[in-house]
Order: sequence, then C-alpha cells, then structure tokens
Amino acid sequence: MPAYPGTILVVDDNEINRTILRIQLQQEGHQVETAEHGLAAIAMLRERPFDIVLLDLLMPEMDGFQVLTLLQADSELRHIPVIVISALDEMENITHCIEMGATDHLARPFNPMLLRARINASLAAKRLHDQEAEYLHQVRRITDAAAAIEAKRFDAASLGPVAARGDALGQLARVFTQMAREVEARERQLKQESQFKSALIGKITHELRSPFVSVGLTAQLIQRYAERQMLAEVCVEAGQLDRQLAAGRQMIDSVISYASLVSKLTAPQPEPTDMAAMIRESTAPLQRLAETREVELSYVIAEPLPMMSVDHEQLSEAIHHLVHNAIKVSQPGGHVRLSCAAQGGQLTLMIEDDGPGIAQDKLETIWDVFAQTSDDVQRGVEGLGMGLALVSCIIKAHRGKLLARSTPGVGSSFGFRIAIG
Amino acid sequence: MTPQSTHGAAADSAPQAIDRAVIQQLASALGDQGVAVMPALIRTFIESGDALLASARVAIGRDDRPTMRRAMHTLKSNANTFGARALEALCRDLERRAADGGLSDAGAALDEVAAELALVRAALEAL
Repeated sequence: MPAYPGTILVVDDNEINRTILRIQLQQEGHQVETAEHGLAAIAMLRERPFDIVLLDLLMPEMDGFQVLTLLQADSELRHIPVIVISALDEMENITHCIEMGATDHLARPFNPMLLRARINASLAAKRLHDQEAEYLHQVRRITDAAAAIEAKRFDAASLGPVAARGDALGQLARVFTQMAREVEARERQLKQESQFKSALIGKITHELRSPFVSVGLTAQLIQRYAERQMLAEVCVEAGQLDRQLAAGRQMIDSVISYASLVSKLTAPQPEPTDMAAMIRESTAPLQRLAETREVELSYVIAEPLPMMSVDHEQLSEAIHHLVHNAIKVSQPGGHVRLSCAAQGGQLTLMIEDDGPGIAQDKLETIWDVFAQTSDDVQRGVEGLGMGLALVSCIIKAHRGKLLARSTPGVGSSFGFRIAIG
Repeated sequence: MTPQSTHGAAADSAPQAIDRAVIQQLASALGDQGVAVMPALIRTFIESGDALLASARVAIGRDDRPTMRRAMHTLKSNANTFGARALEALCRDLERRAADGGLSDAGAALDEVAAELALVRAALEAL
C-alpha cells in the first residue's frame, strides 16, 4: 500500500496503455478512472475530485496540450498534478509540457519503481496543497466570523468545524468563540442596563413632575392672593416663581418624551428608500411653522439622490427634528436651508440656519441628552437637547457620522453623513 | 520443406519479431492479474493492429497525414509495449514521415509494417 492512496485519472486514447496503467496503479492501492480523450477527461475533472492526472499527449478530440492549457486556466483544477506520459522518442514535447504547467513526466514502458516514486511524490504534493487549502479555508472562516461579530450577526456554529481541530488554529477558533460569547453577553447586559436607565429616567421625571405642578399651582394662588392684597413685591416674586416652575416642568416634559422615544427606538429596520422624497415628506409639515415664524425654508438637493436602504421612519424623524430645531432658533426674517448630496459612496445632509449660533464649547456636547443648559431654560429657548440626542441615537444606529458647525452671531449647521451602500 | 524445417523457420523468426524479456516484464508488472489479462491484451494488440493498418491505407489514398500519424503512433506504442522492436522502428519512421512531409511514397513502407506485424502476430500466437 502506498503512503497516500489517491484517486488517479488516466487519459490515453490507446486502450492497451489505459488497461496496463490502470492495473499497475490499482495494484499500488490507488483508485483509477480512465478517459479516452481530453474532452472526456475535462468533463470528469469538473465533475469529481482527482489527485493526479496521467496524461497522454497525442489523442483525437482533444490532445494533451489542450488539456494542459484548459487545466491551467481553471482555478478549480489548476492545482491537480499532471504527469505527462510519452514514448522515449518524444522528449522535446515533455519540455514544452513542463513549461505549460505539467508537474512531471513518465516514459513508456513504465519502470514500476519509477512509476511508484513519481506517483507518490505527486500525491504528497497534492496532499500538502489540499491541507494548505483547507487550512486557509478555515482561517477564512475565522476572519469571516470576526466580520460577523463586527456586523453583530455572529453564529458560533459557523466555527464548529475549525474549533474541533487539535492544532493552534483550533485553539484560536475556540478562544475566539468564547470571546464572542462574552462580548455578546456584555452587549446584552449593556442594552438591558440602558433600557432600565431610560425607564428609570422616565419614572423619576414623572414623579418629579407632580410636585412641580402642585408648587406651580400654589405659586399662582399666592400670586392671585398677593394681587388682591395689593402686595406688589410678593406678586412679582410669585409670578417669577411660576415662570421658573413652568420652565422646569417643560424640561421634565422633554426628558419624559426623550425617554419614551429612546425606549421605543429599536434597531433600524432598513427598507429601500427614495431619499429625496423622504426629505420632502418629513419636512413638509414644518412649512407652516416656518411661515408662522417668518422663516424661509429652502432646499438644495443634488438630484437624483440614490435609493438607500435605511429605516424610513427613524431617519424621517431625525430630519424632522433637525429642521424643527433650525426653525425654532431662527429669528423672523431668518433662513433655513436643507442641503443634501451623494458623493463618494456617502450621503451628506446639512441643515443651516442664520440663528444666534452656539459657542464652540457647547457645540462639543450638543448631541448629549442634557446638552440644554439651565441658562437656556431661563431664557426660554425651547429645548435643543432632547431632539438632537434623539437624532444622535438614530444616526449612530445607522452607523452614520454626526456633523455640527456653528459661529455665534452667524448661524449653525447640523447634519449627518451615512454610507449609501 | 519438411515439417521440421518449417518449425525451425518459425522458431528463428519469432525471437527476432518480439523480445520475450519485455513480455515477461509486462506480465510481472501486471502482477496477480497478469495471467488473466495478458491474452486479452495480445488479442487487442493484434485486432487493433489490423484496424490501424487499414486506416493507414485509407489515409495514404487521401493524403490524410494526421490519421496516418495517429495510426502509426498507436501501433508504435503497442509494439513497444510487447517488445516488437522492428515493428516499433518501422512505425516510428512512418509516424515521423507523416508528421514532416507527404505520404506519396508511404505505400511501400506500410507494406513493410504489414509484413512485420504478421511476423509479430505469429510470434505472439506461438507464445
């Protein structure tokens, strides 16, 4: 028995040669199949795996040179060792064949020792190649798994066969799977904690709201009583207290609405979306608000915009918030301009206003939940914070990048950039 | 001629037509299956030899060099397998001629191949 029994394809138009070679190789313990010409051989090679091809050169239908050319051009078959068989008087052909990619050659009549040595050498090379290909294949499974983790769709079963290996690669796969499970568990925990936090914020703010309401009512009562008693100073103080309580209540309300929005914000459900249409639909209802505030709302859309796979509802919400904020901060006679363009595989959407602008230090935290400062509340500026925090959640869920620029006294632009593909 | 001298002539020509050592090596290379397979291989050689000669004759008439070349190539290869050295040499010569040039004067050479093949057949049948 040979070191590695193989499956060998003998290609020869000469029946006597085929028979002799088949018997000799079978005696060595190999599986042997035969083909009468190149066409038949190529068909068989494409149908099932072979370890070696023993190839005669002069054949009808398709000769050995054509078979070699076809094999070399086929990435699936190129690696199969080809041993060219010929008579001793055909040596110039052999040189040509080796140049064309043949592994080795054998001259007829076959010396049994030489036949065995050449076949075993080619089989060992083939086996090494197969092992290498299998190894690379399994390494690729690990890199695929890494990509899957990145995309949050890792399935530990995909690494099962690799993890079963006893070598270093197997160990890598096992460690990898274990780490992936830990990452997954941690992410799940973080998500639960984050949901719990949102729920807690919602609850606390609800509880906070009622004392604000009752103290507010008390302040109004005091104010009315002071009016009747003509206690001017108390009246002014009570009025101010009531306004401050109202501002506080408003802030609590926006925290409540943010918490409820975030708890409802699920993973994006992408669907094919006509971006230009979505932009117009999501901002059309704001046209009246703009008119009321005497703000001009205009669009600069570089059409045609590509179709994109996004969560239509969430992205509409984000665009709506950005435009809404821009209108709110604008003075009568101001301008809000929405621009959108696709370039370099990315879609960029910006909303510019010529409002009061924001100082650089505040701009850095503008997307945070509690970005709105007490100053803003006191000045009665309506909440930027909650809306922008929600936009931030949505854009991050779409793996996009938030954009913010502002020059105090000139205006601001807020927007985002997301990949089209 | 006496029956004895006829037998003598056959005995003389047979060793020249085939090399018995090659036949023995072939049989031993086929191992366990040698005994069973050898007669079938010899039969195939002889029968295909006749067919190849016939196609070579047709090829000469049509000046069909590729067919001539292939027929002589196969017959040469089989002659080599069975140690028919003279036949192998004749076939090699004709195969080269078919590869290199015309077949105008190939008829006589093919007659020689036919005569030698007959000797080989006789030698093989006498085994």
